[in-house]
Amino acid sequence: MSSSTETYPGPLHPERTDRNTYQYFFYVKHHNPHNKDASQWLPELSHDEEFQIFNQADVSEIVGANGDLFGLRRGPEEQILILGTDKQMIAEFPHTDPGRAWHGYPMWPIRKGKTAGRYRQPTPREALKKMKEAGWITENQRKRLEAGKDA
Amino acid sequence: MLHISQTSQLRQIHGQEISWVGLSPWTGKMCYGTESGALVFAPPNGDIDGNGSRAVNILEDPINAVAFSGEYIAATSRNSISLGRRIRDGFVLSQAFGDFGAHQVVARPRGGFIATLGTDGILLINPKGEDLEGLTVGFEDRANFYRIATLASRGNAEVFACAARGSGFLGLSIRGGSLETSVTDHVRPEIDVIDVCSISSSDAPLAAAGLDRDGTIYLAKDVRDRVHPQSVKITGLTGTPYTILCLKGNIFVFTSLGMLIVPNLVHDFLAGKPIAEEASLPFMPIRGAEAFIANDELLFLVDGKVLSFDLSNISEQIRIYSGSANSFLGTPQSYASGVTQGGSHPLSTSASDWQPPTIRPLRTSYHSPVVVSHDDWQTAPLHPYSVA
Repeated sequence: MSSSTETYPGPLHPERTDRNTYQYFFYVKHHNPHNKDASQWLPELSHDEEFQIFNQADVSEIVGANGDLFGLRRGPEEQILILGTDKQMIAEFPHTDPGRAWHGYPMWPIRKGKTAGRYRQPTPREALKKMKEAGWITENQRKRLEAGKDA
Repeated sequence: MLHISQTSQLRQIHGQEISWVGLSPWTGKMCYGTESGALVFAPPNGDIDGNGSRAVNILEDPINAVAFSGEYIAATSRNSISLGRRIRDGFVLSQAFGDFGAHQVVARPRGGFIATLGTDGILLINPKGEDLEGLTVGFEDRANFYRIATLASRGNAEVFACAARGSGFLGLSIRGGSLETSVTDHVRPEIDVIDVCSISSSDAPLAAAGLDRDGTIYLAKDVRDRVHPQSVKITGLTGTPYTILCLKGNIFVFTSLGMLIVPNLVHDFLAGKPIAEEASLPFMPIRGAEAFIANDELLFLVDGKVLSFDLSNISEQIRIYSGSANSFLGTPQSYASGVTQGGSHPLSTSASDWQPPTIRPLRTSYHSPVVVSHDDWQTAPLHPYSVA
């Protein structure tokens, strides 16, 4: 079954990623400020901007050991822009089976205790290293993110 | 002119990248955390680049904070928390405490530690006999506990200042070692407090400063007071603000591009003097991952090493400073001279590019701060923990 005929818990973006032609949907539970159990994208972030974070992660292959993709928003002068309602700076896009649309959400900067049945891990070190190699972040920003700090 | 090249030092640990530095009360010397999760203690009669250093693996990823409390030590990373206890010439380590990471850990005035857990709240670690036990305290509005500074004991309470990102600049009081926790929340729309420090004096032991990500400095004479903090907006600040520090009445703001020094800001604030409408401030262009002050030294993490500047005569240096950036601590070029002797060059801004930022007070329209009783907090005890 192709992803275009499947239903997802959120609207599909009309475009696909430039590298792997992944589809992407906007999971409603990560776009609901009243949902305290899931991290939330900034309300002012448009769907196009969210998709571009995913697209850039795919294009630059910022991928973790288990196939998850990781992205961020960059501002002028090497700034990393906040993308989550709790000041998160990095988004995770969990690996998805072939043919299905991906989704994503802001990541916590530190490991969180068990909630909703699982732990929340921060961005893997290998993904931060790839962000540095891709020129997305400076070495000092990589070090700060690896220490659970704002960068 | 004072030349920093005469007073700066570059310290490094062979084969390790330093991620934290501070003074160890156990040795009276600097202690270092590394990116591989090791703690390195300098020997009593030398420094880490000499013989006799002791390294202990305490975590598995970069150490972001270390605190000492009596015979106990706590270290944190973004993935875990670890505790240890001193024995004779070293210390024994526990297993990881809990199954979560922390942004920071500090010692409490009456013993034990407090760690910031982001939106999960705070972790109180209490001495209990020869053991330690932990208790997490969450906040039902999901306050984002990011950075924390120990202030003092007052009555039967321990008082802290806390940077809670969009949730405000907090004054935190803990009574009885555990659940009697209250918070004075200084918050306004669009606030994003990313660091705090103590600015205490003998007359104002509960004074604290906070730093907003937009470059605003918040000053409170008593963080528990339900009054608006004084706000000072720095215009022209370059880089992303990271850290606020205080030494001898002066404020230091570390950004991704350097260190801004605001001479006498705390002195003037605590004395009730008006803050200058505009001033030319010294800014040290230096690209580092973090900055600390310990033992009258200004310490930068640069390329996995520690670049230190002696601030023991900071008052004299500020007295000499007359508004010209090049007369404070030496020119940017002289910093470069000092650094390159150690084989590293963290400065990316030449002296000709350098422009001193200005500072001006900004009165903000704070919402009325509210005191939240402990009944409004969610609490969840952790399993008791014992040091081996």
